[in-house]
Amino acid sequence: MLTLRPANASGRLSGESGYALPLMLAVLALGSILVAATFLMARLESQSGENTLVAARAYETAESGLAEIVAWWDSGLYDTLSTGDSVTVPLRLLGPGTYRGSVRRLSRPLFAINVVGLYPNPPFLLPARRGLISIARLVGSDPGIHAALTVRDSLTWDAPSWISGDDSIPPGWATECPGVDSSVAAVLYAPSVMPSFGACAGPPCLTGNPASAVDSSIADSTFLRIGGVSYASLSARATWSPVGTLGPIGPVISAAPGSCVLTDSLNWGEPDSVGSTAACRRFFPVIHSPGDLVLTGGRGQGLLLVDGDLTMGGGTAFTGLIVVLGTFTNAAGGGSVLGGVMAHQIALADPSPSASLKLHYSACVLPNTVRGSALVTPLPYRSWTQAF
Amino acid sequence: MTRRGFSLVEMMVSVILLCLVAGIAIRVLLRLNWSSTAAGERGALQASLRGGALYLTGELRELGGTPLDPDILVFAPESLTYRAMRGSGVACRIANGQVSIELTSLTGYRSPQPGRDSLLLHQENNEWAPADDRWLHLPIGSLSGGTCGGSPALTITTPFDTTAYPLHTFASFAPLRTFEIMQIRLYQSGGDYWLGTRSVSGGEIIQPVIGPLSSRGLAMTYFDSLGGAAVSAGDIRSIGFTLRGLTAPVRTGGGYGSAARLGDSLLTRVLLRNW
Repeated sequence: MLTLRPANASGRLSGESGYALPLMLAVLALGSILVAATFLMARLESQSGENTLVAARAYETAESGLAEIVAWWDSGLYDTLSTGDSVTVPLRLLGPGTYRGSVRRLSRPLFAINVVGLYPNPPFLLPARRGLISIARLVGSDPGIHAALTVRDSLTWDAPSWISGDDSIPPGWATECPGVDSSVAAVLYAPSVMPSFGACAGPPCLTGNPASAVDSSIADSTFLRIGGVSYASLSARATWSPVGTLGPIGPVISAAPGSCVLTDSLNWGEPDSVGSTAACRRFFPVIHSPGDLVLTGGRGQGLLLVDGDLTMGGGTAFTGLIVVLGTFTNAAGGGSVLGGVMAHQIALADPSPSASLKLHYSACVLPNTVRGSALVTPLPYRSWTQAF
Repeated sequence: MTRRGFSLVEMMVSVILLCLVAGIAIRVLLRLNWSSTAAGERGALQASLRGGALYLTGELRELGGTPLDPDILVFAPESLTYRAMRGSGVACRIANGQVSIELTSLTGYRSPQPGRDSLLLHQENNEWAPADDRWLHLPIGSLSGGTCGGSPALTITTPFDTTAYPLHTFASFAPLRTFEIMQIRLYQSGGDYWLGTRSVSGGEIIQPVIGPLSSRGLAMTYFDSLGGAAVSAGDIRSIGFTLRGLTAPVRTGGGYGSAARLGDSLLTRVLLRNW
């Protein structure tokens, strides 16, 4: 029952509680919960967006890693892998992100590049991670050389040096060279060349089909594009750039674990496929000499580009293609080339038998050594895949 | 004896004040609730659209093919049928009637499924001539275990014929992919529109990915390499898509009337990576 206080009564009521304060507290608490819920939802949204962003950055890091591996293709390392073998790409920094991966050889021209991109995600201990795989291939074509010797400007040759256009397969190259091809010309020269063969007019000093012939297609440009790649591009990708006197060249193997040492500029690979140095068998360096070069002995393989003159002596044995923009000549000890030689001028400086040069054509060696310096590109179609 | 209590006037004033405060509080609470619900719905919608965009990007980014054999099979503004890549690896052994995949190399969205998935096997032909490379299509019959050069392998039964495709035309470790034919499209169900997907090769019915969407909830545009409109599937190099989503009915602002659905959209573009 309601009790009314007289109008003139004074003083405060005691021992009785009101409900305005609890009501307001409840209202405030409810409001706070709603505000907190809204804030939490916004926070979750923000974190979700942040996660998406970080995942995208990890993906872009992996993409950049793929591009970097292809752009900085370590031909000395990757191209020497045996089919089925792989090598690890160590962790590399890429801005705040990192990537690591591996390169595996699937066949002679095909490689699988596996990259994992990592990007830090501060609220969490583990970084965001995305994996990508790309199939890349070496692109190089037959250099289109059909003679043991191709000459642009002048040719002075003499016995006992000899040139053979008969196809030859180097010992230990049976995998790369399944069979002997037909013979080609020993010498092809531009129409402007007036050749002088001295006592080397025919077999056995000059053998081929034909022994020598004029080729009207030989021009300066012939020397500036090899296997579809420009001389300048190949020079820019040189493994070694020696000038002056060099030698003896030869394969260099580390003491343990017996791998090919790719940091020694005298290591021009192993053309002979022999036991202890076989690790350098698949190493095909591009050697570019921006000036004159004198070789004093040893053996090597690959693609040798010489802007100036090349002198071969000391019994140097080279397997591959030699392109000389100056004069190719000999010196004491002589030398031999198995593959092909292209030179603007040929002039034998030393007529002695001990300085003789032996040039022997090999249809199989030429494309293989040029391909050793081939460019790497992703497979034209379906090269790219996401790894999980 | 003096008895204390409320006067009638005090009582009436306190009741009026209480009503006023309660009214204001309820109004504020209601608005807070509506606003919170709307924000939540909008957030959920945006998350849904973002999820849809991520799904489409992940699914479509890996498409490519060759000009004569593109992975996009049928395309329209509101639907797309394509070969969805489900896995990749290398074949460590190829023989008449079977292809073995090196298990350590097998990666992807999921394992191959017989009947539903097919195989794309890279044929190198002349190893130094990229122009003659091709991808063979092979159905996946059955799966079995085994080894391949000492490594665990997954052997797939497939009508592979070494006479038609000589073994020397394949790499020692031939790249391969598995795929299924998928369709994504806008469809209507229960009065709402949804972004749906289904495995065509698996014979599935359409399943929702995200929704509800508006009646124009999915719009895809196909671009060629120059950024123009692609004419044929072989020309498509990127796909732009717009997702327009709707929330559940919510009251917004100070409205005391009927609830309405909020809308939002997301526009993005996927570059097809395998061209």
